[in-house]
Amino acid sequence: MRRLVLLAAALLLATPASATVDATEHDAFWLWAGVAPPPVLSQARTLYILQGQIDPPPRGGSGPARMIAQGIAVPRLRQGEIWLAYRAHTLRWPPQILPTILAQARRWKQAGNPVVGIQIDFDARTRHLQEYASFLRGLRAQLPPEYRLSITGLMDWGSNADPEAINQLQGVVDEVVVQTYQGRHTIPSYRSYLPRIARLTLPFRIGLVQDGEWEAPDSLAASPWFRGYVVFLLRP
Amino acid sequence: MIRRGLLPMVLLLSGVGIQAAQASGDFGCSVTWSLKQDGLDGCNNLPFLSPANDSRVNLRLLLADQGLAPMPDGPPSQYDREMGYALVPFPLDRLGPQDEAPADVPAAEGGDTAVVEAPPAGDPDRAAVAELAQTIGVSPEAVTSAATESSGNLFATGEGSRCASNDDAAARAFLQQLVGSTDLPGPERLSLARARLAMLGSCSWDEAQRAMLVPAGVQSAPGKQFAGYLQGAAAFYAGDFPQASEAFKALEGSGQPWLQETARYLEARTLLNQAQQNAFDEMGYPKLENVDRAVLAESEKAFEAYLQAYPSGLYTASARGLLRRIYWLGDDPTRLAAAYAGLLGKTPADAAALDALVQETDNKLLVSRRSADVTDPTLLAVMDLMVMRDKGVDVGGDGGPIISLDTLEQQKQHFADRPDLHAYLVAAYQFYVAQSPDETLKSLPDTVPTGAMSYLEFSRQTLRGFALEAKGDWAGAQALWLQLIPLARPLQRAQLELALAMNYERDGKLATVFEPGSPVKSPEIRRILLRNLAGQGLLRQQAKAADATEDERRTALFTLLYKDLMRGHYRGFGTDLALLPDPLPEDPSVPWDQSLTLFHWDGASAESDYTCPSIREIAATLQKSPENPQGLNCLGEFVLRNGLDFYALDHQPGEQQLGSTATQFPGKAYSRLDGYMKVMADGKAGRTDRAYALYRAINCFAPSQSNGCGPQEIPQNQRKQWFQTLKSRYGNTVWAKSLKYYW
Repeated sequence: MRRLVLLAAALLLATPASATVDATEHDAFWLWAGVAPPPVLSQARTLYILQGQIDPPPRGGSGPARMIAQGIAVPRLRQGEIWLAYRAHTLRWPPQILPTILAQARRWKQAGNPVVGIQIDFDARTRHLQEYASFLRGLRAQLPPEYRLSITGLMDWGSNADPEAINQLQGVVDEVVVQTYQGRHTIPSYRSYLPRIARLTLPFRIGLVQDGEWEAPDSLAASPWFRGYVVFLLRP
Repeated sequence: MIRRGLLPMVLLLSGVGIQAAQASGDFGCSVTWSLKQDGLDGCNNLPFLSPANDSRVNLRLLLADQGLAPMPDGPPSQYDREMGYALVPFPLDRLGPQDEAPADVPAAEGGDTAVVEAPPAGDPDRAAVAELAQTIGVSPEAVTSAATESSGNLFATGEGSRCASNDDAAARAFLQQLVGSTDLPGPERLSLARARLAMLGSCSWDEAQRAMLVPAGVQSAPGKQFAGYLQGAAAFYAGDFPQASEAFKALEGSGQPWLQETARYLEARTLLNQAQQNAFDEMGYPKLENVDRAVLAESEKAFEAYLQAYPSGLYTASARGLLRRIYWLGDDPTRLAAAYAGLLGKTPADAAALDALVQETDNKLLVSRRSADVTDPTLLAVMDLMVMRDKGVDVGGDGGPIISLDTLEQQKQHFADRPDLHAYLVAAYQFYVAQSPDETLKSLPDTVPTGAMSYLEFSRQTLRGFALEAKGDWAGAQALWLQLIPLARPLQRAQLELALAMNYERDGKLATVFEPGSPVKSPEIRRILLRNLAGQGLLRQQAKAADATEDERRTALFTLLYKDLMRGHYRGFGTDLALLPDPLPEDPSVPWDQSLTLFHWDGASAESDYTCPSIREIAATLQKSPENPQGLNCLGEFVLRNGLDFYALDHQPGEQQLGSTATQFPGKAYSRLDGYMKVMADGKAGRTDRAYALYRAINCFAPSQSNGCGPQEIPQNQRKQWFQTLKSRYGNTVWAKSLKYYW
């Protein structure tokens, strides 16, 4: 028991204690836009780069959902790990969406960028986790094995969701990045969700917003599934 | 190479950090029931010209006023409803396409079918290519192989790559010309068609591969021209711009009209690609200083010449879009703004075209340029409102003011035809930046319109009401909101209900909202008021109100019973239980919440070997003796087993939001740990009760060391002491035996 407490204390010291998220203390970033490249990117080891948004067909329009291009042009990055991120507004994907994602990933790799996986950002409310899990199983089955699969997750998954639904994601997704922010701001009650997040039993990261709030609970560092932070960059 | 009107913005979007998500709802939105925010919040837009709105929303409001594109004002999607949204405030996504299918569609059985819902729709271009190829005599295998290649080369809508136009549509147009050129010898037609098909699906050939692509031995005059075109196209896609230019130039005198037009267009495009080839750094970000200005100017000239020669040609729309890209690359905001103003002044072809235009305007002009470069009143107004956010202070920069009355005064000349809009901007400045309600009112009308309101008129009335409220004239504002309601369109009406509800709340007239005939009808608003503010009297009234909806009666009753119980009104709880309907509805009043069956909790499961009676009996015990150890432990058990720690009814929304003023329900919210600590401290409490209270209190900190049972902060040595007490004094209880650690 004493040992456990000591261990936790040691890990606490190892994590940045700052309550304001300082991007310069991190090396994994979520990149969704940019007027100018933030200098902090030079220290990046992991980048999640928004490349597309999957929209349902226009209201009253016919035809399938479409993917709208987002984010930066194909860069010429040579190191670290790059995830191409896709924001999904619908799970009803027509057949050309995944091939388009794979074509993008191929173009990125052809240009020499170290793409390691695909991230899906879908606002799956607790009630629809089952449907989402089923969607992700389908996606995993069609995704070439060279790509890992990451998803973003919401804070309240840990508390409100049917644990079965989250457990179903084990072996389907390679990681969940749990977002502690909404829009540009940290969710005020984020602390109250953390104990349950810390109990996730699949690899997870914590998504922080630049200049937002963060105080790491000890439980996080103690979790064997915790893989670190991703900072959502807001500004150069 | 490109269909007429094909994605005029394809290249325009290329390689630029698209700020599509500029603080919008893209990363999980939640609703904030508030009207007077002044910081950007794309998750909570309002149907008046508010600085806090996303710039795209304000642009759309002004376009709607010009009759160019109506604001979507249909009922929110089920998805939005589940997120807590009603009609107003609305997330930015509401402007775009909505996923209308019900959210409850059962997921497809079997993982492999979930991603794909419908069989692939037939692509008309691909079908046409196949048919033309067959006519020309290309083998079916070559056609199939080209189709496969082409499928591997997909692009997202608007994705920036010159390769995106190397597609089925382009191949179709070329093959059509081959078929139409009757003086082309058959074998040449066949080899040219094969070559074009072979080009599909890739753009990155080296010089040797390119040489192989273009058929050798073409002898006829038209054949040579088509081959020359393929040479140019291959060089263009591969990024060999000098060779592409040379090839396209050679076609200028071609007698073949399609080749002549296409080559001229591609020549301009080649120059543009050449001008921007170093304009993006290794991160993919634009570095406009690296644009080759001389080549860019040539490209512009070439596009202008193309448009002159082909005012409604095959590539006119694309050429116009690429001119905007030239203005952007050339750092020429004045011409860029003029181009957007021109486009925004026309009725859009469809919803997708409108979305794309608003998006591009926002991305390339509104968020990154200064109003000094702009003369169009609509664009100016949107940009001015953006700098009035956060009290007109440059929060991302030096913290100094970024808008002044002088600036607005200097802009006045541009608003000669829209004086009302200018007056509104001045009023908005006075309200949001200068924070002077009196000055605000001076720039606003003091009468109410007589009929339906434009969004600008509605904005002026809204600001007028805000200014009255800021002066403390709640009654004056209330009268205004009530006068406006009959004139309002759906979005305006929804905002007025919220304004009126917040006014009543702040003016101490909560009960007025629930009077018969109240104009505040929105179930979401009424629900927030009942849950956060209502006292026992109002809750009892609404729990029984015949004119209230079933959901509202249930919400009122649930809130009443929960707060009775958790705020120490045990007697009231006992009597209010009689209001529970029989039979009890199983469903909660909103899907994500608890249902009334909570209050039938019988305590029977005794999951931790601690026995409790029903919640009715627990309350009865506590009514007789509020410190009764078993009663307190069991109330804790009720909270624990039903997941009610930090339950939503225990706290109120933040400042400035609906439901944030002082609640009329007396008492402080109970937390489990308070109960356990009382039992621990109670010298007369039984051994079992104290041991269980210790065990539960220690577990409040498992495993995170943060308190999961209440707001109290307990130092670790205190928790250690609890653990030691449990282990030593109550060592033979099942709880002491089962607990190995403290946290």
